[in-house]
Amino acid sequence: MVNVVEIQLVHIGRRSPVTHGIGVPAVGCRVKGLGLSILVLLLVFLGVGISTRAAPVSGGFESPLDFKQVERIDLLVGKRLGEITVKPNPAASPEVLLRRMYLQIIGRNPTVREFEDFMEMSPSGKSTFSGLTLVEKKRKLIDQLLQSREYGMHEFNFWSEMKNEPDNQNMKLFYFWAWFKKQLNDDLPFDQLVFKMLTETGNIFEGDGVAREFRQNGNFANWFADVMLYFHGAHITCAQCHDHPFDSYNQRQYYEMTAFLRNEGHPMDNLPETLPINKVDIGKIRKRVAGDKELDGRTGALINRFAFWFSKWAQPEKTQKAGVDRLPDYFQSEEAKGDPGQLVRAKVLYGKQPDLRFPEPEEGEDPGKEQKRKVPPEEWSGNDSRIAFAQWLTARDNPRFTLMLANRLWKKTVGIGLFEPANKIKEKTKPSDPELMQALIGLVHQKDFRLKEVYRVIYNTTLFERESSMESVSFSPGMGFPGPVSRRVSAEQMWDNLMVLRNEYVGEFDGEPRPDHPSRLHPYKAYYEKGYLNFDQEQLTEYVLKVGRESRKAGMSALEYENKHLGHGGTRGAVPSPFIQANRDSLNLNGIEYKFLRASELRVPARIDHFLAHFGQSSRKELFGSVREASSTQALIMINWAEKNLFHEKGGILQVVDQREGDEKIRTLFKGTLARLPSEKELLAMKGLVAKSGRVAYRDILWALVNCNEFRSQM
Amino acid sequence: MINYTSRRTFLKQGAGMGLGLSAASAFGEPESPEALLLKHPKAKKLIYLFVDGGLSQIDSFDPKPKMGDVMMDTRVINTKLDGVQYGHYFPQLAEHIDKYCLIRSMSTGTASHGTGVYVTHRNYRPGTANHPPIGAWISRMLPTLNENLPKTVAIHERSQGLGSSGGFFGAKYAATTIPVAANGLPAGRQLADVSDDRASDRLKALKMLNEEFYRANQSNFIRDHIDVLDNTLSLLRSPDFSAFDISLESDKTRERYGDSKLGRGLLLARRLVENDVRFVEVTTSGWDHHDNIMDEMKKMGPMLDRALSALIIDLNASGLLDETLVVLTTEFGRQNHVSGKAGRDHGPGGYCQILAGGGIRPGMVYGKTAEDAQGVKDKKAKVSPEDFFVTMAYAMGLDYNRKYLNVDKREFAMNNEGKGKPLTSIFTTA
Repeated sequence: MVNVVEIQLVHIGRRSPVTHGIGVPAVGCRVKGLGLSILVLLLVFLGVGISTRAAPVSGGFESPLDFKQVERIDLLVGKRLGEITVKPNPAASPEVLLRRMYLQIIGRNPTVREFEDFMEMSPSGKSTFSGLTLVEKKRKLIDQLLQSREYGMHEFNFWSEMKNEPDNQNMKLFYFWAWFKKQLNDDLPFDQLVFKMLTETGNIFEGDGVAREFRQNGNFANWFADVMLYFHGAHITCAQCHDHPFDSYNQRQYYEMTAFLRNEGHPMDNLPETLPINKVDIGKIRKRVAGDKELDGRTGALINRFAFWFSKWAQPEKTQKAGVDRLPDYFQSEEAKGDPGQLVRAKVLYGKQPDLRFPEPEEGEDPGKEQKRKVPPEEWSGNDSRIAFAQWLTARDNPRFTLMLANRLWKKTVGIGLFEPANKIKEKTKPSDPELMQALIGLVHQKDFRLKEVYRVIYNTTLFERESSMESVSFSPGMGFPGPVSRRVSAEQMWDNLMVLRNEYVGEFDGEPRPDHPSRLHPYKAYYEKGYLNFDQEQLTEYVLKVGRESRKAGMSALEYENKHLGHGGTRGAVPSPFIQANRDSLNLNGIEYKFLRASELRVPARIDHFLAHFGQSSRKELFGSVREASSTQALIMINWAEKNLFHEKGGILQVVDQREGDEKIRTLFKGTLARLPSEKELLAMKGLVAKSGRVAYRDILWALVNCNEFRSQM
Repeated sequence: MINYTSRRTFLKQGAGMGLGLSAASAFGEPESPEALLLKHPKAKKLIYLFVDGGLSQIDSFDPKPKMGDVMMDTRVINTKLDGVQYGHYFPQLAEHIDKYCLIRSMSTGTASHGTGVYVTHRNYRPGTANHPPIGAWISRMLPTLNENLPKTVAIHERSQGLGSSGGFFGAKYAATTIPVAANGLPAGRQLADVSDDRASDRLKALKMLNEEFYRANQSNFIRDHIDVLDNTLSLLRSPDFSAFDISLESDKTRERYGDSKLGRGLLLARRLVENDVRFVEVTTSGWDHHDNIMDEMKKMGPMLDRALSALIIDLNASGLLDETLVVLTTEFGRQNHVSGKAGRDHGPGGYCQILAGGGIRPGMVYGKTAEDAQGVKDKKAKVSPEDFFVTMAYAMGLDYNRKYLNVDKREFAMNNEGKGKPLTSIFTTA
């Protein structure tokens, strides 16, 4: 018996609405790979049913805060604490709450000015929060921060861990991540974001085409394993080689799933139109260059730009997938039937099978073997299995997609998931508080997967206002949440906290490429805009020879010559926001350099010898690879490098200190680093330093403050 | 392909046996085959020299003079061993061939730099786990020899951190990285810019802030940070800290290693193992000679020759070579024909690597490449990167089949699914 719920998924962009059915067996059936406890929970939600998606808006909150949802979460948190007779933590101080909101929502500490504004301590006596109660101030600030574009920078650090990166990372990913950040700030519903990344096929220089870069990872099997793990908590990869030893997936099921994204044994006959550049015989140009004594070997690098990268980036992908994969030579399932090398058709692990039409073999063809003929697109037109996969993966009533998302959002806010490890769902997985889990799933659905709306509710709960739990807390099945859990800040937060001390306007700068800024135009983008896609054999040859010769004359490599003389830069300088541009004269912009931007605007992942790598930024070699452990290299960097190299007297926090008088100088340092005032004892000790060493003592105090453990903790 | 006993198969077997079972075997995990272990491993430390880009075997340690034009400008010279010849860029290593073992039958399955470098360092292909490199395994499996210094160090590494990563063991087992050997430990020197008096004031202020904070927030992670800070301050005050300073070496010594990045790197490596650092990787980059290989070899060959021979000579003279394994690795060799603009493309079929010290038989040449330099002559003597990897483990007495869990609770051993076999015949004792 199958209970089918039809839902309407409307995806924005060129794609027309598609109807897609997914079913879940009724209670009593065991579903492969789905824990029964989770299943029972999920069935409750099937009642959520049909919903019409409003057109996406660009970030603004058009509706008032959803108090009903806020109260529901608080009620359930309180209910559990009552059941286990644990008292909630007392309310956190306004200072702790302020720093928490900044760190949690935009990923950095408040600046001195922001602190004074919220706390109504500004020397001018003015505050944008005056006349409001603490709760009203909190609500206002949460909304402001969620609408800040630094929200996207911080969220990017978190969500970009969904994609591992090959070693030979190239600039395409830079464009992809810029697009990704924009979607976060525009609050594109998360299901639509994932759908786009799974299905976009176009030219990466246009529209959402660059979303396809999500799928480029060198190795399909690794990429697929990551997608299933990140979005479904399904650790399916073991089943690639044998029946999963600890979970319910067998080897055949693995290939039935990968089949959605494959055309194995079915050569495609729907290649897109070839562009002029794709018809160029690059080999001929290479020979021409090799035989030209005026050119050196470095001209080859220029040819490679055209041969390997540019022409390929602009080429749309094959647009459809047939939904067929092949069992491997080492197929050895004990549970499922199949022969090594046999073709298998796409089939989902659970839920209703998408209505796919597979290419039929012609008479005399063995359906299990390679098909020699190219299968024309009309045989499966409208049944692209890749789209079917993306629909299944991101569907509202797909039990796992929302479950993983809701738990991840909770863990990000509170510090511990409602189930742990939060990375995967196993047969035994059971949320610590099923009712709360259910409420969070309902919240995500009600808010149509708009993360800002979901965060807005969670950040406005009483739970979020409480003091953090001090002792180390680990997951236990019946646990409650007396308050958020204290933790070390992430590598990116640590870096960003230093950057904003260095220059309080750092959040106004980003590394996003702008087409109107030629000196930093990426070479391929420049080629694209100059119309080089239309180069024929003669034109490209002429271009390569010309640049080769000119560069030789100029005594540099062909690529350097392009960068310096043709505006095909690739050198990324910091680009200020319109706000900064409009106020350039009145702002202190001293010290903004590309290398001192926020973490999200730098190379991701950072080089291995970068501050970020030492502080545990994910190396993007495996999912969930970021760490927050202490190390002696971190300590050395903070002891000997940070204060000396990041801060100068004419900018940032030290400049603000310079503008203040008396003890206020010391208070300013505390405000900027720890978002609080010094205690009497601390103030006295620091005054002693100033009395002894004079002005230079402010650097010493700053050194102590950025080295202290409070600076690296989120309370 | 290992035949993986499935959970289901096991459950059937287990039910039949009706016995109490350990947690590990209850999930049908494969039992580790017993690793070959040396009774008295001599190697306590490892200097791992990585030649990044693919060292040409034809122009270095396995020239093929019969191939005529293919050799281009590379001439052959005799080594101290009868019948063993080198490319003429390597006279000192030829002279001191009696101090190390040359493997001439390396062969790998990849011609891609990314995969090759990964496999050489980590013994697995890139996949869904962050496999630890050799240094991280050593850091995880062996205790420290000097509390004052980092256990593992990586010098001049590529940006991807293939050697210095802690892999899935995490940052705690990552090597300390030194981007420029001449500058020593990054952020290791600048405390000197602040007077002792001010440094002391800073530390006092920091101590007060940390104590106040810990009193109110007794979390484990904060305790860890306090401990790490204490250890780091000890390191900064330790006399062993001068191990990072190659300027303390005489001009003559620096001259012997050569005025090159590689020379300075290997000199620093020597100082570090003298101070009981367990593992030092030194990377030399720029060996991917698709074009103008002769010009490049003229510059880079003698640089490598000079630096590596100086290291081996010094360690041999001080007796440290007995307890220090020195290896030269590269991701693959190069093709047997001239391509591009007088260069050689990637050749994974047959190439050379070197091992010295730590119980390795000196003056030995193991295996032989084919006459056309494109493969291994005697298939039985073929050495894979996996074999080489566990040979290093074998030399250091590491149980290369012992399994460790990654973040996903999947098991990995140094030996990739038992693919590697140590080259026991190149050791002086069993």
